[in-house]
Amino acid sequence: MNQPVSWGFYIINFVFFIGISHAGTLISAILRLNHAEWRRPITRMAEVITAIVLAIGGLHPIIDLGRPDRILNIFKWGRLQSPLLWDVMSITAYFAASTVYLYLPLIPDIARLRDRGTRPHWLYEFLSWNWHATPRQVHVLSRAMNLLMILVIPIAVSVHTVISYIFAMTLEPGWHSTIFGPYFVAGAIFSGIAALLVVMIVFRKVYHLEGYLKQVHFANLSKLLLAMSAIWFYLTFSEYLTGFFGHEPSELSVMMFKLTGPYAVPFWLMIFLNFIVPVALLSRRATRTIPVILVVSIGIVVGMWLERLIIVVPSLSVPFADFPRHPYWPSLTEISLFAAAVSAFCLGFMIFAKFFPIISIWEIEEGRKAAVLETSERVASYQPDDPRDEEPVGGALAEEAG
Amino acid sequence: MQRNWITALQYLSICLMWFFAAGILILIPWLISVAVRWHDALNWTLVISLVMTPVYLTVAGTLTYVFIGLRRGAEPEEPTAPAPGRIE
Repeated sequence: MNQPVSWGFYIINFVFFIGISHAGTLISAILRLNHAEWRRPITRMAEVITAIVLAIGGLHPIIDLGRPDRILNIFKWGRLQSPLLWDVMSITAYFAASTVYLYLPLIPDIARLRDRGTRPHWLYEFLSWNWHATPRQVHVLSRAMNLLMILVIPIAVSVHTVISYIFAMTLEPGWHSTIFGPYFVAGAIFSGIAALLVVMIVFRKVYHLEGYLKQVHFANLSKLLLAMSAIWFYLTFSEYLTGFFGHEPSELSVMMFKLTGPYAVPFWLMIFLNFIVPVALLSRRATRTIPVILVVSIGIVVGMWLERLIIVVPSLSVPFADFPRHPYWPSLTEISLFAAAVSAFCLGFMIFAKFFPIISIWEIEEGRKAAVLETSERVASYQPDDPRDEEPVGGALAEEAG
Repeated sequence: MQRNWITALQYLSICLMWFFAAGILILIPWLISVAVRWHDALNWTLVISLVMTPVYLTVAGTLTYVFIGLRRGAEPEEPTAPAPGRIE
């Protein structure tokens, strides 16, 4: 609180982590909804990312308050028409929905661990909810997963739209924009896919999952990443062009603060990492290798953090009112808490991987069976009919002719 | 004995989910009353309430549906469905 920029590292990290959370539930739900077969080994990892980073991201505004006890004022005197409270509501709903969405597809795998006698046995017995794969249980679980799949997509989109409203609903130059909703959602999906790729590559290497996470998964996700990079750049370009074309002094001063002022280095580094590097490396098949994808994805995660910095800080560094400009420098506490948040993410993921399968076993098995069935049906559709089943056409014709 | 404890914990977890949903559903009318008292954009408060309430109810309802459905559908002696998660 010793500097005029009131929203610094904590709010940057809040927006960043909530953005990463779109990796999971949204990508997993969209791929499941589209019956994308290649999704099967990656959905669990994506869903775990969502649950962990939402918990971490949601803590940051409480830290930012300085007095965490004041969070209780939301319950006493909250103003439901304030975008800040919309945020509390939507993030809570997203956290609840995505945790349930992570848990339900986990039940068959937990039951498998229970039946194998894995310790702690009571934990798997408790979490498996009496699962024995009976037809009725399969039907119930499938229905619930389908319902949540559809529910989770609008919630996920609404969460980041509402976060953008915290900025866009003010009259602050650099924030007051009509495209902030889609801009934030696109950025969130973009950073989410990059984070998912980093996690996939690390787990593939550490747990030797080369048989499950194959080149095709990385190729498909990197194409998606490339498309999101183009969409992100288009929205960034539109955002800055309209601001520049209007030539409004207050808007222009914030923009120049970003483009040529103290925030020029993070701004141009953001463009380099989020657009130039992905387009240069991911658009060519020859460079679309796993090590390159890892480097590009890490670059995008860093670039998207810089994007949050570029959105949050410069507008407050150039006050609308008649106050002197004040570049923002984070304190050691803020930097330490950011490092702690990243560490908490790694720890959370490792604890999950210690107790639960990081790849959905039953979905892989289901996929194998579905593939065999689909192939046999497809082959049968263009093979001649079996003569033992039906009377041969030629024979009938010959009989008629005779 | 341990099985009874686990069953009790399972019921408790569902109760906690409803406790959470009920907490939100109590909070929303309270915040509407705050808006009324302060003459503070009541229409927007109502719109947000109408959007948020079904979300929490659906999540809690889905979890309860699965919980009850899995308990009723449990036939450990003779499983017949091949997938998902069938132990061979």
